[in-house]
Amino acid sequence: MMKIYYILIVGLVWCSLSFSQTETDLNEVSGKAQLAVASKLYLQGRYESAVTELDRVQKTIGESDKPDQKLLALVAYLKGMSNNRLQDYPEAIIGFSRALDLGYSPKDINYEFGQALYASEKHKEARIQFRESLRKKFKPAVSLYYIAFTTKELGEKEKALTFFKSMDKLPSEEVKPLKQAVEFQIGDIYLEQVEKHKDAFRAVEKFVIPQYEKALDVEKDSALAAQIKEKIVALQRKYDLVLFNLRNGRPTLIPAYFIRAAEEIGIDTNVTFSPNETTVKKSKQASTFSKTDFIGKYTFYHRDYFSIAPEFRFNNVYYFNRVKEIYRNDNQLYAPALRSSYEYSLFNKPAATLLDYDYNQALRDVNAQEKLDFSSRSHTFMLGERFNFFQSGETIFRVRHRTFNSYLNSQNAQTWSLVAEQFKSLGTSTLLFYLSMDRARVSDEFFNTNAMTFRTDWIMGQYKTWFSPSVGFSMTRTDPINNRTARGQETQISPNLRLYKSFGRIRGAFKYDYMRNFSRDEASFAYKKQTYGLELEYIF
Amino acid sequence: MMRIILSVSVLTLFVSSAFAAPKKVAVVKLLRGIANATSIGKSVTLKTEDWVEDGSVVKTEEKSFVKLVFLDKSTMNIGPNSEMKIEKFNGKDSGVIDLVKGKIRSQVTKDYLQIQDKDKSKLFIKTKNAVMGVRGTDFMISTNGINTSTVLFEGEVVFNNLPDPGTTNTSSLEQTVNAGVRMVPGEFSVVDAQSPPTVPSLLNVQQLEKLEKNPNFASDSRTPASASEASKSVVPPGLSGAAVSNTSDTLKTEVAAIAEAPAPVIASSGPANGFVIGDSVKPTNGSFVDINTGVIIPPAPGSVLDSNTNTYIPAPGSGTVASDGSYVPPAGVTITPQGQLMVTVVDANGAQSQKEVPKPSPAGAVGPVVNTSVTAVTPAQSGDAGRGPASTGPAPVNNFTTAATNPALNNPVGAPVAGPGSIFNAGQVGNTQIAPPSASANPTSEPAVTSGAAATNGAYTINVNHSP
Repeated sequence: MMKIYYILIVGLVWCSLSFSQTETDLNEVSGKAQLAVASKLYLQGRYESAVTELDRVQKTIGESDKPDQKLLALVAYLKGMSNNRLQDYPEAIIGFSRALDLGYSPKDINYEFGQALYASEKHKEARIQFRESLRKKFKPAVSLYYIAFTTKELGEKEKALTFFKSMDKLPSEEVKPLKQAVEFQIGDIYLEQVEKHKDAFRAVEKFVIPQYEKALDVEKDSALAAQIKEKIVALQRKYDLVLFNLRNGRPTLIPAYFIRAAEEIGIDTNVTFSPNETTVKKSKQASTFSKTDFIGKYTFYHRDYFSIAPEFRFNNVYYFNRVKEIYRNDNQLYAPALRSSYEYSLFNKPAATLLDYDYNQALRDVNAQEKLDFSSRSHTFMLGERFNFFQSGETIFRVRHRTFNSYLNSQNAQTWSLVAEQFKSLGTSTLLFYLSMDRARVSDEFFNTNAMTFRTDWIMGQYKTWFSPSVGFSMTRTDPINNRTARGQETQISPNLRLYKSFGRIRGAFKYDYMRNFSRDEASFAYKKQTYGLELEYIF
Repeated sequence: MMRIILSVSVLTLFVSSAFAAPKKVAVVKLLRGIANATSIGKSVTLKTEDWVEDGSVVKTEEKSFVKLVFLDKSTMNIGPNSEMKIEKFNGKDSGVIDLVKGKIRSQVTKDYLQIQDKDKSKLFIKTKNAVMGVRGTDFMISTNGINTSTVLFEGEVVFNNLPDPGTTNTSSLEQTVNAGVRMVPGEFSVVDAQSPPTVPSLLNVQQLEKLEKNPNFASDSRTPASASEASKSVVPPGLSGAAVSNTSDTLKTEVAAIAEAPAPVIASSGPANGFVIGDSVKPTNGSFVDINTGVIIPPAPGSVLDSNTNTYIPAPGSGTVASDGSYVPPAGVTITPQGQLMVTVVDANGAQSQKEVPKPSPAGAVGPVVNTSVTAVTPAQSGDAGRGPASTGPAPVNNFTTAATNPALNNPVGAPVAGPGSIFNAGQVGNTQIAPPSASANPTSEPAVTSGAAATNGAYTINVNHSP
């Protein structure tokens, strides 16, 4: 009887153990199947669904008497990964912590955990995880960068500097994509260290900006480079390392130099020849021409109120129609100048007194021998005043005197001019008005003139992202005071059109000019012409 | 006599066919709120199990929704404030639906019309400016009458501008869609009044998942904790989102060791970064779309690349997604029904106002973020701190001292718009002036010497944009 009882008891124990085992196995199998579903959802980017599924897996496994710890840890890790991508960092932290607590440590867990901690501003804890990630050689350069950056955020600047500098010890291919950011961060640490000092500007100039420039040198066109440049400028402004604004608020020219080279090919329908400043001879012939223009200028500033700018201009015109009447107009111009301005405020707005000197030396094929000879030279002094009286734009008044020496002594002249200019801003375009009165007194008084010129230009903004147009019109009324009977009061009109298209530093332009001069002496002085040109210019 | 009988028969046939009742094409299976159907001038308020006829215009009111099941078992869920016309659904030819305004979520069966040619559209959905050719699929299309946006969940659609919204000719519509863009699941595309459709790009994964789970347009503007905007990006300053990105390789290996090997990663739709080439605009993968207006919000700089989905996880400042899948802009930013981005700005006196800001470029580079600002100093301090003279004139216009350019004064209330990498740049408000080309026009220079008389008359060269 006892035997039967014994057998029954043993049988019952075995059965219950066996069923319990089966239940555990079932939970495990079901949990693994659910895990496969969850990981599939994860890989499809359905992170929210993945988290829901993982919760279910966790519940299923948890129902076992002896839950599979590795499975639980994997679930926790997957939850951490999913929540990181959902930017639910507190939940991600819980997931990763649990996985690590269960002794589960896949290669990237510390890196991902570190990121969740970093985003949660837990820099100290994040640093520990990134150290572990670095130890595992998982994304070593980025891990070290995180270590260095979190150290910096924790206020341990010296230590952070050491970490950033020690990145050079890692394989170069790992560090290369981070190199610019590393150099930039070193610059940031330098800046934080020197900013507290009284003579910060010296250290900023000597150490900080060169360090940022070192970062720039790594890659000049990266997105980070643009921000580094911004920071350099901000520092230069803050410490007055570079003069950005004059004392009246007018911005200085940055860079201080301006170099432009341009080449124009065009057609002149009636090439005209002007031996002096008041007469003109027409060829009545058309010609294509090439015009080369170069200008270089550098502006020096004395403190924040005075600027002086030496300038040099060279111009060469060559006509392709090689008949005498035309090629005698081939010319070259050498024109150095010195421009200065004294900046101050008037009506609480920027104003300046301008003083310029221009020297022009022109060579021309005056003898029609296909050879350039001296044609003329001139010295011009200009005293002007630039100020803002109107809200919409600047006003400039000038007095100008020019001494003109021609290869023909009889054509030597002295010209006094009074000039007024007004700018008017119209939002995306600008209107420009110019008025000048010129009194020219020539050695041969027969050619003396008084003239008045009015000119207006409308410089428009970009039109339909394609080109920038500009239209202008000028009219000159000339009184040949000693030759009125023959010439009468002459009028010249000249409308023009320009279409510009920029390609970075290169700009193309289509130019059109119409010019017509009305004179009583139709045979000698009345003429009309049109000029079409295509110009390419490069700004250095 | 025979002639008369024949004439009468023909006439009867003609009249009967001309006045034949429109065919019933869809039945109302689900309804929330108020929806009306208008057919041949007669309007009825819809109820569950009502039939809708070919040619009907179905309108839903605010917070309303109607689910239509068509004869071919295709379903069409019409969202709140929507209006659509069933222009053609006769079972003999591809169907044509005109979405005047609002949203449609549709699951079109693959056997509609039993069209074997998988490159032929089973259904066309038109809006004022776009047309979509549907080839057996689950998708959503939305229009505000200005922009049209579409999101694809499953299957395939082709999408293009519609030059003539009046057309119902299916061959012509087929030609139009074939010249457009072809989308794969997970992608979105937007057509606006001026431009061709954007190059299909992967939608933000959270928005995609939430929209997919909300076919009935249940309105829930709450943002669950998991979707609320993080305060800080995981990308440390200086690094790009791609540099810190982790792959799923370790995860796949770990899972494979325990459970069934994971499925391959979802199909990628080209590069994650956006681009602009001529008229062609490819938004950055992971962008949000404001479904109501078609406004694309790219991930802000500092967003991390999720290499698993090839999309960027948006950094703080990009906005987030509500439980119903709608885009939620950052605090202080709103999107008008016309698709204008408005930010709340505070002037120097503390008064708040709404200002329109330019939309961020959908193809904006997800670059690194660094702090480029430096501690503010006044001009006087600047003179003391540095070696330059202290200014005596008006305050220089710079980033430190001028109220007009002080980002703190232009910031929307509570919105991280002025921080590094912001995509809602309130600082641009009112700063779009084009500086007068004072130096450009170069009036200070002497008259240019040109050939002939032009040189003598005070004329000078106008040097637009380029000048010292």
